[in-house]
Amino acid sequence: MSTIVVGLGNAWRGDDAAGLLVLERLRPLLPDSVRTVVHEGDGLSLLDLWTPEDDVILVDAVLASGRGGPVLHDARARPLPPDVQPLSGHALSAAGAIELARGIGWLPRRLIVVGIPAHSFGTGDPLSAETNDAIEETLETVRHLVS
Amino acid sequence: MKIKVLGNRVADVKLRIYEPPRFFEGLLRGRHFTEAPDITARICGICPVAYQMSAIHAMEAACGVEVDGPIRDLRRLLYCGEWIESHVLHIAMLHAPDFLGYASALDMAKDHPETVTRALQLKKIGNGIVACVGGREIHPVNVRVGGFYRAPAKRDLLGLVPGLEAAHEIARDLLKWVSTFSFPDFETDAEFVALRHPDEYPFNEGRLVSTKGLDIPVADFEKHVIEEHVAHSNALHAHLAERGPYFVGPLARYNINFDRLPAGIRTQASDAGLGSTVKNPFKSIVVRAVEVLYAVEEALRIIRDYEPPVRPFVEVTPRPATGAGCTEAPRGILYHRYRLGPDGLIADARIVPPTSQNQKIIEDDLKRFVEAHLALPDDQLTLRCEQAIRNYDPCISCATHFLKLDVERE
Repeated sequence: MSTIVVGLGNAWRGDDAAGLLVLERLRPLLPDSVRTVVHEGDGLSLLDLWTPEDDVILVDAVLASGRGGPVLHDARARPLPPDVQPLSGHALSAAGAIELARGIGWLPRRLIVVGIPAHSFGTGDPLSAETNDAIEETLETVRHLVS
Repeated sequence: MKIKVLGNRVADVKLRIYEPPRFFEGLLRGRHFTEAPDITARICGICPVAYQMSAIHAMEAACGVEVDGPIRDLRRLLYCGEWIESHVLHIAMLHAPDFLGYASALDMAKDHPETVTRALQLKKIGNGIVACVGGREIHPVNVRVGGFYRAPAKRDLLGLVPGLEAAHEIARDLLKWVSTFSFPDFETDAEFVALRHPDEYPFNEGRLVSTKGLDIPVADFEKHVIEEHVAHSNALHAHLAERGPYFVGPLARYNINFDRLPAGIRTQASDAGLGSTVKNPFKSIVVRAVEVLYAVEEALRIIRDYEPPVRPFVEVTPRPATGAGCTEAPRGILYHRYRLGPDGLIADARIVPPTSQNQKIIEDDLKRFVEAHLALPDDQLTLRCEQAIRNYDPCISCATHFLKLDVERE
């Protein structure tokens, strides 16, 4: 059994980089026994990162309308909300991949999605001040989850 | 998709592609000829290898270079990986749910977990080939004009063999499974166009051949293929000059190159209910499964015979010239043409992807298909149309399941 923290996102799309930034800052703070993974590709390949015996925390930006700290979702207990608008017929979102894993019995033992409220996803956008503030609180949340 | 019905006749079908142009041909101008493989790979996350292969062949044609031996074999091996990845994704995650009446692969997985799990395992083998030869699974970084930056060691490729042997059994089972699906009674009389090589089932090389007599070198592509902008779509439509629309992709490859498949694969295709020619686009899922099996066997053959090249690339010196390349992307022929200046910079570029070439045929198919199924309620008609579009595995972000069908009946 491994504990795995996965940072999802796109470094070039504004607040979508939040999950990656959290992972970058968390790495030196986590015990060596925790595996950290940057995931920037198709959601489907998330299924290669874990086994049903693992303990997984996915950190990703989530669309938000106001300020606030991270949102936690126990994805083993409840499905994530469906995609608002799929971007491609040839790619799965993280939520889609989690539901596929549920269908084939490949969910990890524990799967917590940590959503960082995000506001701007434009190409080349800087990180918004609100999301930057939320990153600090997210670091503590994830550290608590793996402790 | 907009369908206009007058009485019991379909007057018009228009597939509207809203995705905006991305101007790749424009942004290639002024870039060094060595940059084209990596820039064009970014056109598609599903078939980046195809873009890299067509780009390097076009550049090598312009520079008067021919690549053979293990470098050529590695290119075929890389393509095997991409076909496996792309075809399995399409078969198991996109097309099979249509045939079995599921809204998506996520729903299908609940009832067929074993099949989906094995398909994902098969796809992963394809990913492994691309990562081993190309440097990473998506948007490979190891391809260069003239060859590769680094050639894998024999032991690297041998590491893929156990997975490929397991993949062979999965691919055979996948072919058997999709052959049991129920296929609508529907055939096309379209002109199929694919590469044809003297000895091989085509990936990278050959002449452009059709089922109705076309037989031209790749360099003559633009003399025969006309691309035009139509008012209702942001994607260019293509047709053959003085001949009309044409059909590219697995069905075209299979129909033109059935005799180039190894005897064992031909037997398995026959056992799956396919003849040497397949004109029902709905059976493209079975043909894709045949091609997956072929790609697995071909990968094993290449690895078995592989000896690393002394040098992973041949030197390519640019010259002011024009070169064309055409390779078989999973979805069909992908054409690149570049004009180089004396400084090795790209003066002009043209890229014709397979989905663009199939658009007119998709509309024609849908017109005939809808006409035969007009009695269906709109929701069922939509489902059938999604399935019909999916036959072509169109590489557009609005492809099926996001389809908004607008039937205007008068």
